[in-house]
Amino acid sequence: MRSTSILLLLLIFPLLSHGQARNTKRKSPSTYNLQNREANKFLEKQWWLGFKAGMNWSRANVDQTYDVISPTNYSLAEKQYNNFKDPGITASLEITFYYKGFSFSLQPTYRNSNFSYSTHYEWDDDEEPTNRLELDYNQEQRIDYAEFPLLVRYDITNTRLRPYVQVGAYYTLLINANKSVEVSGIDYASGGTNHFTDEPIIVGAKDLFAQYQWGLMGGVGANYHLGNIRINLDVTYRQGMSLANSTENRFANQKLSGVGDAMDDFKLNSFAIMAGVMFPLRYLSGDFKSLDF
Amino acid sequence: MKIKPFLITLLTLLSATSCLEEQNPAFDEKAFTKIYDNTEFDASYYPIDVQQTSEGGYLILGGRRLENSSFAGIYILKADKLGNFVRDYDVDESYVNPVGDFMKIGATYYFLCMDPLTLQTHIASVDMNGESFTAIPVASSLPYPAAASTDGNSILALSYNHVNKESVVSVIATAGTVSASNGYSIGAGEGVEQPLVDHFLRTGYQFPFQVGQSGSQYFFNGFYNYTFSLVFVDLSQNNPTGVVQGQQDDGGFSALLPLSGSTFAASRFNFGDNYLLPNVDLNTSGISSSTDLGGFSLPELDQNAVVRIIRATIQSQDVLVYGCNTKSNQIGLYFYNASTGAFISSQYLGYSYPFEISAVKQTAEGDLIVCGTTYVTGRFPRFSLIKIAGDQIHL
Repeated sequence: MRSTSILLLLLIFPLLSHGQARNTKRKSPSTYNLQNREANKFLEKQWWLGFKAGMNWSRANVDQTYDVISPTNYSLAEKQYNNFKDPGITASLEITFYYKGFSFSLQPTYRNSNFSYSTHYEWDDDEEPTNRLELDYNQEQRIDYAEFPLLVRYDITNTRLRPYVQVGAYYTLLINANKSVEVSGIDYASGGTNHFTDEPIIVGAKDLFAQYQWGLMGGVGANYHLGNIRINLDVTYRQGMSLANSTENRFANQKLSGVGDAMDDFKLNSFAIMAGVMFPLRYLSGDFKSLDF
Repeated sequence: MKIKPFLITLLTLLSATSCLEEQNPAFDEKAFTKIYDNTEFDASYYPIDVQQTSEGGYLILGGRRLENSSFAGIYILKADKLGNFVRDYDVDESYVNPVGDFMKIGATYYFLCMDPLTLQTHIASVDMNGESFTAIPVASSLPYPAAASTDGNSILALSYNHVNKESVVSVIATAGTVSASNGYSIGAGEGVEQPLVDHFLRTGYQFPFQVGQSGSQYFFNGFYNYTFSLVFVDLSQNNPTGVVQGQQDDGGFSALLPLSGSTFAASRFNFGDNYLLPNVDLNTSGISSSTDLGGFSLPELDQNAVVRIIRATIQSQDVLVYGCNTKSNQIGLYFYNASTGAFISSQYLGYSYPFEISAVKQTAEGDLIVCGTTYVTGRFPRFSLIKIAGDQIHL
């Protein structure tokens, strides 16, 4: 709900800004003069400052699996990861330097990444079919990061609507993390078919995740010029290049290892859809326009 | 070319990358939690003792519920150095009542068990892989083995002779020959025997039987003269040299570790309460009472809690590690200074599902390994093995 409100604000704010912009008649290119050429030269460079926010969806890219349960007479079923299903919110401050179609952008970001996985176990009795228990453990991770992406962007066109491609790298700092484990199952041995769901175990799990990570990122997007400001929409994919879990503290949380949970070695990938607004920081004059049309 | 900005950037990048996580097999070996699960609904396992093997893996000796016997069966599990299950071995029902310690003598791992029909004690052994099981009967009549420990290359055994109603201490070679043995009366009458019967059938309180050496003196923690007592003996004499009496079957010592001379690290139970005695001087040559010894009372411990004590060097400190069962169904580890008995710190293992201790050991690398029973989903008793990195213990 909160993220929806942010998105609405982002959409409304540029429209209001546009309404307040000077309603000066645009000069045609044929009216170029010396002043226009100076303006064009001036417009080859620009600093932009803006804010954008949106949603992200994460995927745990498992390098190596770990388990607390070590079966003696069966093969352990793989953890089922729910990739790109649990949304999180993302918000960035964007500082961009534009030069002749290329932009260099630093985007300090708050990113909330969520992902979950589940495991399934069964116990039965060959001689007594009602002696049977099925359990599902659903583990949810909610992780908050401060992220520092550095991107190079190329504007594909030089029009009011400017699609672009961008690539870069990011470095993240872990802010906080929580894990919850919910156990549900079917107990056939209690005299009937007893479906049950236990109260989830929710624990602070900052020690179980990597304090720092880095990764590569790339994406596409577009800026739409409204007056002197830009409305921005982009889609970015992040590819984690270092582990997102703590290898040393994997079994350190007794509340989680006690119920059979151990984190895999994994890298965290995600894609984000964000919308925002950018403001130019360099003005030639009071009636400056960030575009030459 | 300006070198300074380049160096600053390089140092920043190096600093940033040095903090990154990467796969580290060393961490995988230093700390883990493992629960050895079995899909059988009515399977029940309880560990007795654990040994680290020479290649870094672990051998766990335990018991299991048998369909056709009132006694516990024998179950041996081999795990690798990461704690992962390698193999297990269900010893057939010809041998029952496994008894620790799980003793390493040479390259072989020994424990005591018994024949369910003759009740005779057998010396059982496996190799480091938990294979090549053999069991040979002890040459003299020794029914109902209750506890064992090493005595050099021999085995020191405590057993219960139900015919003579005696606690019997014996020194047995691994080949089965008995070099010394003596019995000490538990007292006459059926009432005194009932707790022992319940113990061996696992239908009642599991008494903390123990046998060992303190200097040149043998001791056993068992029944003597109607009371669960700590008894110091000379196997050449028919009467004990010293007795620290308990409270019939309601009190006595729950664990003992000789430190030096007559000084012990011990714990005792008394009508459900527990007292830790990290540095206690015991009367080894007369009659005394354990209730006079006081001790640190820990209300958090389970009634008549199972306690294990080891002496370990952790982070260069000589410490006593007490492993105890708590009322909150966790395993509590309590660390004391081995010289002074002063409390250092505590740590708790397990959560949500009950965990009960069977053994705590220090590994060759200086880490701690805690073996116990956990009840998976709160229902199924299974082995658990928890390894704690020595440098992560908060002392």
